[in-house]
Amino acid sequence: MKNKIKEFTKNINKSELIMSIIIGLICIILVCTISIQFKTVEETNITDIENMREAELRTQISSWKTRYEETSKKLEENNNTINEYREKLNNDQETEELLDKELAETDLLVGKTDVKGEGVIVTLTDSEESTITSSDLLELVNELRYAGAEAISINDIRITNSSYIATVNATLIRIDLQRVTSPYVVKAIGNPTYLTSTLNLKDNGFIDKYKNSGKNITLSTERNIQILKNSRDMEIKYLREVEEQ
Amino acid sequence: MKKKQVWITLGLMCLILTMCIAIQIRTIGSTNSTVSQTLTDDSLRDEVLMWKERYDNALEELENSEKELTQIREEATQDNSDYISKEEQIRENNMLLGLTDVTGSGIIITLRDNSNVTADSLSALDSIDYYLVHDMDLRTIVNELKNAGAEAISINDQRIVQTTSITCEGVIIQVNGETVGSPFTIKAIGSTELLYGSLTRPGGYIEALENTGVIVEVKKADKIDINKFSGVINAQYMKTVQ
Amino acid sequence: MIFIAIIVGCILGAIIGGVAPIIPYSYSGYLAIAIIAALDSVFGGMVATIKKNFDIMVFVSGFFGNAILSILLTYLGQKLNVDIYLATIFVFVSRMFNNLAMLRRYYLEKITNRKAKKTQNT
Repeated sequence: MKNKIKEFTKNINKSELIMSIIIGLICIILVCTISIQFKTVEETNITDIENMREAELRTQISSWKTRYEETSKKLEENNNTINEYREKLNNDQETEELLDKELAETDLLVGKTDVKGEGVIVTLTDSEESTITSSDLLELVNELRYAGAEAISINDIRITNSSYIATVNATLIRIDLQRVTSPYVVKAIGNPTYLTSTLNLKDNGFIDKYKNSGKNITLSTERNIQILKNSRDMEIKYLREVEEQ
Repeated sequence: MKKKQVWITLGLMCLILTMCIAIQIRTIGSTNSTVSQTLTDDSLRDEVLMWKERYDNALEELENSEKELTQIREEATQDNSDYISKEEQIRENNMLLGLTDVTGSGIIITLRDNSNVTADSLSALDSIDYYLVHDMDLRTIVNELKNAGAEAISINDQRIVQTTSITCEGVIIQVNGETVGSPFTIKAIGSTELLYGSLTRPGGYIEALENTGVIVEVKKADKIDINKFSGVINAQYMKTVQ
Repeated sequence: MIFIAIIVGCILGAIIGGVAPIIPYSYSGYLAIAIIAALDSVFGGMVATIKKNFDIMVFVSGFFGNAILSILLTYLGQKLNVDIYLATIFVFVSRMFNNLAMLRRYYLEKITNRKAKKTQNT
């Protein structure tokens, strides 16, 4: 075995060895740059930014930026909670406090608590020429979510993730089994500037579009809006968590 | 004497050449020509990619920390039944919010733009609009699914959560701010019979869509996996009323 | 030996490139030109090998020199409002085609020769 290796090394002459090393290095450099270039081009294609103009690109930047900021803020919070749990692992009293705090937070997000905050109130009223339909309300809710509304209610019925807006018998509007009638008071908590500017967008915004089709709609900004909790109990019947492998 | 002349000519030519290059560069730099427009656009693209990468990294870290948090929460609560129920409630809330990967039975709806139809092959009364899937269609179907008791919904792997908006800018449909395109795969977990029955009922929205020309397919499935929402749901403006 | 070096180099390069972060979009144009120039040198080197006048120094200097030169030219073109990179691509790609044609002819001849020998033997 040893002899074989010796023979092998003897057979390789020095200049050939150097040449192989150089060519190997060049291969590394070439393939490395090519794959980096592939990745860059692919990334650009995925994000569709290849053909975007300046204005679009600027909105893209700000949207990614906000998302990044939100994520890193949440990350920080999570890490803090983890550390707190660690510290209090052996102290029952404090663990309970922490648990309660976390539970309260998720309850707030799900919509199990009454909430208050600044936001807007949109009032839609049936007029003689046209009535408000369920799809109008659906679109308004969608628009408010787009503008970053955190909590929404229609006639004091909290709109949660599982809420639906349906038309019954072609005339009645029903939200989560409850009937609602005109005037429809839609409350939304969120950044009032974003909410109003999204709804007020010229021509294509919700308000302009609906005023043009002859519907009664008013918008007001409020400093303190109260939105009641969701009274339906939300039970999970069919969902199961995916177990970690 | 001859050599000197050559030198002088060469020197003059160099002078002229560098002068021209300098002038040209300065002109391009000061005008808003198409080239400099591409340059600024390119640097904006850099910035988009940079922020996206940062976001991706932060999101990955967030996912890890969330796993760690669930783990340590379990650890801290494991020997007290009172805590366990609270811990379970937190889990349940997270499930309702769409922050966990979930699985269950339900239906899968596929909507496809009708590609057999082009603008030329249509009669005057017809419109290409009838053969395409719109944001409104997706909104209506999601609403109908919720009406039928769907507990988790996703469109092309974008989880529908309470902050989700389905919008359209030009011809691009966005869900959660991410672009989605035809074919649209809508997954819903809930009672299979109820979901299937209410979506495919005569006179329902699916039937109406099919009649206008969109290609629709609805099938039941025993096991559907729906990914969690890749983002953050937070409360910046709302506070609990004490 | 050289083949081992080539294969190991390619695999290592792919791994490093896969791990490396992406580069800013505005630089990817330059990198593309550099890659084309480097590929041209590689094919040039292959042709030189079959012609038996391969020189490692010429190869290495061409590999890096061409890449750097083409990047510089592209940069100059950006500044001067001329798309010089189009000319660079034209030159390099047409040379690549020439070299590839030469390689193809060489190997075709080799194969036909071998076949002819076989038929002679039998």
